[in-house]
Amino acid sequence: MKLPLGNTWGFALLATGAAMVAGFGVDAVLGGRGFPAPVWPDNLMLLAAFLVFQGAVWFGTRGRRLMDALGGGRLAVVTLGMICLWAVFLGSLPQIGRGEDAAILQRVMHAPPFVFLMLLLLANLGWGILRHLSAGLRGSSLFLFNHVGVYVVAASALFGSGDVTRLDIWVREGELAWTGTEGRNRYEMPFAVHLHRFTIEYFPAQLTLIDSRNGEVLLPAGTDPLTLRQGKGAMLDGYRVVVREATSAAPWSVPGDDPIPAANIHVTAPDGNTGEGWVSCGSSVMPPVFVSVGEVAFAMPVPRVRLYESRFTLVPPAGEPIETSVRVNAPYKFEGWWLYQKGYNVEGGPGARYSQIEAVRDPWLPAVYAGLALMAVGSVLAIGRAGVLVRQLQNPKTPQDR
Amino acid sequence: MTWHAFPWILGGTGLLWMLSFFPQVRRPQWWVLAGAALIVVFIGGLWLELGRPPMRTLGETRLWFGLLLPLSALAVYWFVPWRWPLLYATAIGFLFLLVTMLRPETHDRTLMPALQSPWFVPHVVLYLVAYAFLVYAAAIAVFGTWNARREEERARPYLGLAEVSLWIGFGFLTLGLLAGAVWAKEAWGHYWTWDPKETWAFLTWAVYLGYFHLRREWSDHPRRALLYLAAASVVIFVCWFGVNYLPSAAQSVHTYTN
Repeated sequence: MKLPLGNTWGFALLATGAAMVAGFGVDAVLGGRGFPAPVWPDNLMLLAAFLVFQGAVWFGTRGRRLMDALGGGRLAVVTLGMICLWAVFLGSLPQIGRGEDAAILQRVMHAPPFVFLMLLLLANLGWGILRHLSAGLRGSSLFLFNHVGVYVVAASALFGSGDVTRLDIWVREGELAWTGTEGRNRYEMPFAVHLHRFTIEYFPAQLTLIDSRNGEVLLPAGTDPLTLRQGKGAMLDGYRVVVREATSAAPWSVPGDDPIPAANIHVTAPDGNTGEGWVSCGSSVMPPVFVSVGEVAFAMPVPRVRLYESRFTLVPPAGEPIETSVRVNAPYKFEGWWLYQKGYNVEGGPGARYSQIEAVRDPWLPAVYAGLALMAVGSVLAIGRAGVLVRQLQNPKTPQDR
Repeated sequence: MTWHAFPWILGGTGLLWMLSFFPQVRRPQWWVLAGAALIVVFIGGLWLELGRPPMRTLGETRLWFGLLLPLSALAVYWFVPWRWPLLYATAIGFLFLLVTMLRPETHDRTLMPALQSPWFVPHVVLYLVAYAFLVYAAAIAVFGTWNARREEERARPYLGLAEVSLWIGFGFLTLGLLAGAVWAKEAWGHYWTWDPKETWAFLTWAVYLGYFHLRREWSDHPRRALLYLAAASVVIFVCWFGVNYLPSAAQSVHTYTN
C-alpha cells in the first residue's frame, strides 16, 4: 500500500492515528500508571535529540512530499483536533493525580496518547516553521512570531515539566521548617523558613435579613447586604437600620481565641416595630447572635477574607537571614524559588497557627516566558492583520497578503 | 451608583440605541456611542461604589460584554461603514444588558484574595474584548450563512467582514491567555495547570486556531468558513459560563460564580 504523502488528510489521519495507537500501547505496557516525565539532564538531552531529529529529517526530506506531509497544515489541524477532543475530557471530568489508579480519561495530562499527540504537534510545528523559512522571510513576521512562540512554549513546557518542583511547607508560628513534601516524599530545602505570624484579615462585616423560623435569607436578588460601619444609618429591604457600634472584637470574645466580629444595631420595621441589640456571626466556640423583629431576624454572615499573609524569616545556608512575607498573589522570589501563601490551619489559635507555604522551582520558566513574549508580539501583529483585511474590503482588488 | 439605577440607565441606553435604527438617522454611530457612554458612566459609578472592579460575577461580566459588543462593532464600522452589522451587534448587546437587568445578583464590596492582583483587570478586559469581537464575527457569520444559503459567492463579503473582527478578537484572546498564564504563575505557582477553566480557554483558542489553518481549504467555499465561525462561538460560551456547570467545576479555582 502506498503512503498518502503530501499535505493530505489521509497522511494526517494516519500519523495522528499512529501516535494514538502507540500511546495506548505504551499505556498498556506501563499498566495505566501514566507517563513518567524525564528530569534534568535527561530531559535536556531528549530535547536536544528531538531538535537534531527534526533538523535531520528536514535536511533529508526538504522539498519532498514527505516534508509537505510532516510540516503540513492538515496534520496540524487533525492533531490539534485530537488534542481538543482529549482536552474536552480534561476540562469536563474530574482529574486524578499522577500515579493514581484511574480511567485514562481521568488522567489525561499524563496519558501517553495525549503526550504523544503533543509531541506530534510540536514536531509538525517545527517542520512547518522550517518549511516556511525555506520559502523566504518576506512578510513572515506574523507567522514566525506566533509559530516560534508556541514552539518555544510547548517545547519548554513538555520537556521541562519533570524539573518543576512544588514543595509544601507546613510551619507553625514561632517555629522553623527546612523540609517540604511533594506527594508522599519529603525533601530538604536549600533554605529554612522561620514563621513569625500568620494573619487573616477580613472585609468589614455585613448585615442581612433572614427568616427567623428557618434561617432562609430574605433579601431579594439584586439587594446587597448592608456593610456595618459604626454610626451609619441605612435602609435594608424597607427596614431602617442604625449601627450604634461595630467592632472586630466582640466584648464576649474568648481571650486567646480569634476575636469575633459584632455590631450593636437598632432596627425600625416598615410597620413601626423596633428591635435592638448585638448581631454577630459567632465563631467555632461561640454561637451566632441575631436581632429579631417579628418573624424576621437580622444576621451577620461570616465576614469574607481580605488577606492571608505569612510573615517569616528566610534563612539561607550562607549570608544574612531575610525578613519577608508572602500573600496570595504576592509570592517571594529567592534564587530560582518562588514562595507562595497556599493554605493554613488556625485550629491552634493565636501563636500556634500553621501556615502552608508552597516553594516552587521551575528552571525552564525563562524559556517559557521568552515564548510567551514572542506570542504576545504575534498577537499584536494579528490585530494589525485586521487592517490589511479592512483595506481589502474597501478595495476588493487588493491582492491577498501572504 | 448602585444596581438600582441600572434599569434607568438601560432605559436611556435603549432609547439612544433605538434612534440609531431609524433609516432617517444618517450617522447611527453617534447614537450607539452615546448609549454606550451611559453604560460606561454606570460601570464607572458602580466601580466607585463597590470599591472594586465590577467584573467578579457572571452578571458583571455580562454587563461589560453588553457594552463591548456594540463598541467592537463600532470600531469595525469606523473603517467599514456597513450599517446593518452595527445595528445587529447593538441589538445583541442590548439583549445581554437586558438579561443582566432581569437576573439581578448580589453585589457586595468584597474581592477574594485570589482576585486582588494587578493582572485581574487587564486579564478580564482582554478576554471580554476578545469575546466581543469573536461573537461579533459569529453574528456576522450566522447572518451571512443564512443570506448566502442559495448562492455561495454571496457569502464572501460577510466572510471578509467577519474575518476583520476575527483577527482582532483572536489577537486579544491570545493576549488574554498570556496575561492569564503570567498571573497564574504569580498566584498559584504555575503558568498552566490544566484547570477546567484553563482547559476550556485552551479549547477556545485552539478552535479559532483551527479556523486559520482550515481557511485555505475553504477558498472556494466561504459559506463553510462562515458556518465554522458561527459554530466556534459555542466554545466561548462554554468557557465563559458553561464550565461552571460541568462535573469538573468543583476542581476549578476559577469558579467565581455568584
